Amino acid sequence: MDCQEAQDSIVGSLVERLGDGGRMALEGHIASCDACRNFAETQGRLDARLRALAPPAGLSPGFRASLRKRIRRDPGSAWPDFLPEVAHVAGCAFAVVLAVLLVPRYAGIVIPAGAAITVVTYFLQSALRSALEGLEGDA
Amino acid sequence: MDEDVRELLERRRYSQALERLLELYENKVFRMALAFLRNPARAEEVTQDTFLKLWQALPGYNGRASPGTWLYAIARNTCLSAVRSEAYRKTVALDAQHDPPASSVFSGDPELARCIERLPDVQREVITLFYLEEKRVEEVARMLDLPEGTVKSHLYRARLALAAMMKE
Repeated sequence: MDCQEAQDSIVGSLVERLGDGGRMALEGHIASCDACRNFAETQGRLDARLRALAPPAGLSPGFRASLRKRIRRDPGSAWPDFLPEVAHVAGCAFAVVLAVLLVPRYAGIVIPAGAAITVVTYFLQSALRSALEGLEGDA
Repeated sequence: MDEDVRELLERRRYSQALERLLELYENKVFRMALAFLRNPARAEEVTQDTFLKLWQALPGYNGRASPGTWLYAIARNTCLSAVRSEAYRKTVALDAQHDPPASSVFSGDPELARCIERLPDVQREVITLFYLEEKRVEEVARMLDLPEGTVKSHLYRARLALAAMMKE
């Protein structure tokens, strides 16, 4: 093993362990070469200093809460917030119109009943959504 | 470890998939951002941007790469955009009027931190991630989308350069 190979092995050994053969050849070379011994000591000290460097601060405790807030605000990340309400009202209106067309004789009853059902189910689905969002936020 | 995320994505459980990806990768993405940006506050912002972009992209996940590799690609692009952004360049230009700043990633050894700052970008990123990721070459290679041999070669050059700088 020459000095270049030895120095490559020294640096390589700090990245991954050398095989038995490589380690023995390196030790043999270092025992008889002052320059490579010094090189190994310098690299060993550098490795220890790099390892001992203070670990960086981690993510702040509010990281996930803040991310969730951004996700909720982000218009492109999900369907628009008002979509369920619009879909609900449109669905109910469609059902009422269809009922009136099918049984025009009872239009006087169907329209107010449809409006009442729309209002009640609107509040029910809003309450259900709020409860589900609360559960998701707690998780 | 990515398999459960892949399964959640196949079942369109995007919220659960995001939570799992946060558990697995939020610190890794943060460390990657730290290696690129050298500023913990900025790195946290970029980590948030990365997960926000991921959330927007989840429905389009095509399963070709593992979710982790896919997330690293998003994180890398977000970090590079942040580095390139005009605002960030302005900050660096202001700082550059003084001595090169010591890295906020390695704050415990100012002399070594200054030497790391003087390395070429890719060597600085590789050596920073190598030590932040507890010397796992394969993880650094995955994060930076480089072959493991290239990571080792950058590590080799960075070590020689650092040793030479310390002698000065």
